[in-house]
Amino acid sequence: MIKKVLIANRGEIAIRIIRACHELGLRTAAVFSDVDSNAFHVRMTDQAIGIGPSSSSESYLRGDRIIEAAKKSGADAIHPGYGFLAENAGFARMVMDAGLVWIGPPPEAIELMGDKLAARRSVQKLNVPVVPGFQKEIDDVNRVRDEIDKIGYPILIKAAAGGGGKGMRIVKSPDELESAVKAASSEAKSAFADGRVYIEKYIPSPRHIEIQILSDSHGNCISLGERECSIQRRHQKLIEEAPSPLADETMREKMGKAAVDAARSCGYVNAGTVEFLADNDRNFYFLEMNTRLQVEHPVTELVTGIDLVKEQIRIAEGAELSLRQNDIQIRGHAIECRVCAEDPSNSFMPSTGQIRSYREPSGPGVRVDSGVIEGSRVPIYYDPLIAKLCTWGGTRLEAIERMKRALSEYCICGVSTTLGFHETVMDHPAFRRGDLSTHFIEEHFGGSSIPAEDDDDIVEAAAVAACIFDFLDSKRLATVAMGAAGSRWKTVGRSEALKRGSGK
Amino acid sequence: MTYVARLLGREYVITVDYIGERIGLEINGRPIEFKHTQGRNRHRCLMLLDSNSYDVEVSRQNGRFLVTAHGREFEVFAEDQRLDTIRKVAGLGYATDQQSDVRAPMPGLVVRVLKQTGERVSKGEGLVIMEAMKMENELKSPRDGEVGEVLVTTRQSVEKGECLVRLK
Repeated sequence: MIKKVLIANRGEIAIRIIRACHELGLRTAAVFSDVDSNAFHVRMTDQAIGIGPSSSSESYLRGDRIIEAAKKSGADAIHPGYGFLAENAGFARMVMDAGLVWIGPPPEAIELMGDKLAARRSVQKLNVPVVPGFQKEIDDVNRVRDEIDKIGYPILIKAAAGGGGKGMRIVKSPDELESAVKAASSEAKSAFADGRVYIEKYIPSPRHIEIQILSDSHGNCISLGERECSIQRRHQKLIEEAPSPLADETMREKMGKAAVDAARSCGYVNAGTVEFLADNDRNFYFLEMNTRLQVEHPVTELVTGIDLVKEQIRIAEGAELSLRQNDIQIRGHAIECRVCAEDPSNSFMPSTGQIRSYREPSGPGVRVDSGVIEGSRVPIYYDPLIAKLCTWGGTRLEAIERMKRALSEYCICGVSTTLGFHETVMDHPAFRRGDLSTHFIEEHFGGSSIPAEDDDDIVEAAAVAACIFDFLDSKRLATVAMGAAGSRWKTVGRSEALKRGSGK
Repeated sequence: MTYVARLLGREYVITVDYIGERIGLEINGRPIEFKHTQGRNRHRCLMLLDSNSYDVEVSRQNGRFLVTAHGREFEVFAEDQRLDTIRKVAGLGYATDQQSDVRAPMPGLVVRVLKQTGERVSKGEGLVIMEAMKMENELKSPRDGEVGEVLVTTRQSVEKGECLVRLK
């Protein structure tokens, strides 16, 4: 049985895990870098151990120092959270070799799912649908025409060695194929010195839908419904919700089964997430498996009533899942907004500094997972996520209205945040209709900057606040100046007294 | 005391004065029922404007005010109306128009300088690309104008608040 858990992470996720441990009656040990010595997670834990300089490569990514800290603290298990070392199979092995319990999946599963092509082959063995496509050197386009016809147009041509959109072409009909392959191939050759291209079915406005699974070491594996995470910017999720506005009962069941199969294909144990791309006809295709706890896990917790972190710890202890697939009921609707220290009106530029004043929303149906408090510093070294704001509602619309209310209550001063951006999205007609795709931000907000919509009254109040502040400041300074002038009598008196030689 | 406050392209003439212990307020000549309660922290206060409630936070930064109200941050330019009048008479333009220093919003590395001294730029056009937090970020021109001076070069690391480009 686990008695003390070391959390190899920081910020909101470290606190999330500390809370689960405390509810289970477990002690916690946290780790911190130099810049985090005063951080909120260090205040929330039972024990805390410094592991090095601020840069993550010298602290939170130093597996050796973290294991050393675990030994020093007397912890018998390590929870990696997400990011940092969470999907590092080598670290998982180090933990186990040190005789500690690893609260995560087997290293072999991490490795297999970490290799995108191996993962694709692995899940295909159990007939999990993948995006149709193939890779080969195409010297004669006519030889692949039949294969492409089988996939169906439109298709996407991607550079095999590529990334960043270079060597990428969308082909809508067979007559565009030849010129597109040539163009993509020569672009790829000049960019990556490798002209090989890959052909994949193109999904015009894809949605990102993922399934949460839980799997124990006794061969039981269940799915906990889906989350839709289509609101993204540069492949970073910004808003997630459960259930998906697109999914119906049939799709949910099919995806759940596919996700369980994907997990089984790699011998998965613990909590994991299988990501799919879906089109608006409810076809879905395996994208990848995330072999860790996800940032957006709270929305699943809110609609299922299951504490995923506690389940992770029980599974790591070797317990059998207490839940069966039939026990899983989806109730109501939950939304999560990622509150980041970024400036949406300036290309989501990271914003660092000190949080001067801070007040969280609360009330019915609101959950805040925050890594900061008043006075916290947002350092430049780590992820800009400072808190996750979730709301639950009986219906999707209630969850949206509640989110708007909670966003307006949230007060974070000192750094720019994405709070205003989220309010804009909550009001957007396409979002309210549930008409989502991973292109949502590009399509509806055009360029990279998102102007905030402002209420006239609030703008006027802001103008007044600045004037009042200056006015009171100038009065205060005047008073201080007068006070100084008045005190000169005392100065003179004291110096006279000193002259007289009577110190008292 | 009378102020001219500008933000988001709007202009307000705001008169603030003590009436006994209370603060009296007029916005664009219109008297407002005003109540103001300051917390222990002088940056934080509760204002009632005609009984509408605003929990606000104010601080000064580079000659401007940063105001947070209802979860939004606003940059306010506010100054004594007399100063404002002098500026207008002298043809110096508004305080808002004079923002000409483009500063690094965080410590980082200059990846590319996009505009050189003497080049015309329009509002929103990229001036410098900086790398920080492992992301490339484009710093944009706050207004139309001409690049007066470029103070950094490629691969130079800069501190938060350091001036990168000066506009004329």
